Amino acid sequence: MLKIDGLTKYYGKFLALDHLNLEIEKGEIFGFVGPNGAGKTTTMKIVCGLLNPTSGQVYINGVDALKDAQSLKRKIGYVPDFFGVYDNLKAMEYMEFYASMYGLEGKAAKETCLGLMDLVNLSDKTDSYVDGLSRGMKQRLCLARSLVHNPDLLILDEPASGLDPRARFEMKEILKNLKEMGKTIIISSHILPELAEMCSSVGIMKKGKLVLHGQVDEILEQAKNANPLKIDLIDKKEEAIMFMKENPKVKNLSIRDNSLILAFDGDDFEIYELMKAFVERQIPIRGIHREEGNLETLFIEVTAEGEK
Amino acid sequence: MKINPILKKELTIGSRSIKMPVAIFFYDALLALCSFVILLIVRAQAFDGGNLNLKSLAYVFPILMCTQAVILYIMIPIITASSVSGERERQTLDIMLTTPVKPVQIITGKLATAIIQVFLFVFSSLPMISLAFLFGGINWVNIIYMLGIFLVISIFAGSIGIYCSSVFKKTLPAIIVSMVIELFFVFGTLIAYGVSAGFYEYYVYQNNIEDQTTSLVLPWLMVANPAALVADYLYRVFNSEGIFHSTASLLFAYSSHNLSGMEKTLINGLNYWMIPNILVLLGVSMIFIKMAANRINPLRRKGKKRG
Ligand SMILES: Nc1ncnc2c1ncn2[C@@H]1O[C@H](COP(=O)(O)OP(=O)(O)O)[C@@H](O)[C@H]1O
Ligand SMILES: [Mg+2]
Repeated sequence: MLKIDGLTKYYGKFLALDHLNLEIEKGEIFGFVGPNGAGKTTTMKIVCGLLNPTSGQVYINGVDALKDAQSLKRKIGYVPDFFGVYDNLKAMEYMEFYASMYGLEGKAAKETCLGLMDLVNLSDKTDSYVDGLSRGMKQRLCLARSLVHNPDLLILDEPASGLDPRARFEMKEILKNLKEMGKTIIISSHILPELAEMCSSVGIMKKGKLVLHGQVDEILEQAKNANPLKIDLIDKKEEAIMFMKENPKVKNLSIRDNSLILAFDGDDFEIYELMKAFVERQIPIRGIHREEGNLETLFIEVTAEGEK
Repeated sequence: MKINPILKKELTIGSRSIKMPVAIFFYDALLALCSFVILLIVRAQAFDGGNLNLKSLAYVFPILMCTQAVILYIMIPIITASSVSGERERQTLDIMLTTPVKPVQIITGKLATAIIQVFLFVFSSLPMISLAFLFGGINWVNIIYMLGIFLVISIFAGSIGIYCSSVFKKTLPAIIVSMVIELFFVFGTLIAYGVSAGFYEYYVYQNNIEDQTTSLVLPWLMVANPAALVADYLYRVFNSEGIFHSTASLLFAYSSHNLSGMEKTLINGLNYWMIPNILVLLGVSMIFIKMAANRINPLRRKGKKRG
């Protein structure tokens, strides 16, 4: 569906995208994550034909998006990271305005717009002024607007930012519906948990590079080693702490009730070795285990790398 | 023909704003004040000289036309200053650019909006202009010419204003630069003509040159001057010829010099001043529209920089 190949973008001397490679299959919801300034918006704008890359290729359904931008305009729906409102325009008029930009007028336009307003649960707001809607409603209206021409690929830049949990939930439900309709969706966010549940795959971006990319469950697997180790003690807490502080593979030691929480850079076998050592030293423990896979910690870990 | 979507949207928004009616009120009030002053002067003359000179009432028309032309010329940069930058700021420009609508359509939609807004002002003043109707000299043909000239001026000033709006993010610099460009076309070309004509006359006088071909070509330095269009036309309303033809003829009226064929052709040519003047103004407008469209076209602009 979408193939990005060696995409590079300089803003003057500043390297915003550094040979980015990415492939997204049809029907996927792809979560594009990275801290602010990672280059998500830049990538999305290039894909939408709003920005020229310095070098690299973008293909959508096999069509060169940089050479044939005009023909792809009917295939892409784009929601920018900033919601644009016109004063004195009603929600329905706002929709019809964009419909007319795609050559859709009159009765057909009205029907399409009403259908989309219904899809995003705004049927009762057709006559309201856009600037009077809540943030979540505006965001949904903007989403409906990006669908007026029934695009195959939806590109949503930070659609969940600034939304309360309820609005975010509604947004998720709508995206699920869209996925069922067979749309390919790219969503960006600088907060990973916001996305994790609704995406089939994610790419984590940092300083213009994709540092991690794959199906959500695969990434969770990879995330395991990054998760903290929990050692449940029966007794001899002081001794256990002393012992752990000596171990070079242990970092960020903290104590929670009768447990030690620590970052441990080792695989399952090394954890077994650790258990043996506790037994040999006669420090009574009830067990050692990794905490559940957590994308958030992984995200923080991956994006923080090399920043020290 | 399909109505430009941007124009339609702007008109919907504009019809809900109270700015327009208020501005139109002040515009008409100003014109009314002008007319009133003219009437006072006519009345004063009537008492001074003892004989009522109603014919001077006909000057209501040129004075109101000039006043309006000046107001339009000042107003258009203000109306258009945020037309592109406003959309850019809201990121609605980005959204528009992801639709199949072409950059040049976005610009012409904005231009059409500005022209329609301006013509609301112009039409609102028509009843006042027709004051001059009552007292002879002026008829509906003059009104049509006036509207046509205002249309040309609006397109010209509008495309400059919209171009500046596509360059500057803030409205104030956009307004100032538009006005500087506008003033250049009015006074810059006038000064260019004045200075070159002055030097040439001096040169002719010094060297005792009979042939005046060059001095008949120099007025065309003002062919992109919108004020020249108004001047030539208004002179025509009260005389059988335009101002450029008239001054050129005067140049030879008292000289013993026999006109060459070339000189005759050039003098005749000046009688058609308005046509090339209009065409050049529209041509310049087209260049500004094209430049504005290039400015908002993200792909084109970058390509140019590199190429
Ligand atoms: N028009 C621009 N000119 C210069 N630098 C820019 C411009 N747009 C973005 N940048 C820089 O490029 C980097 C990536 O920006 P962006 O793609 O917006 O990141 P993200 O969307 O991931 O937060 C940032 O460091 C930003 O400062
Ligand atoms: Mg961004």
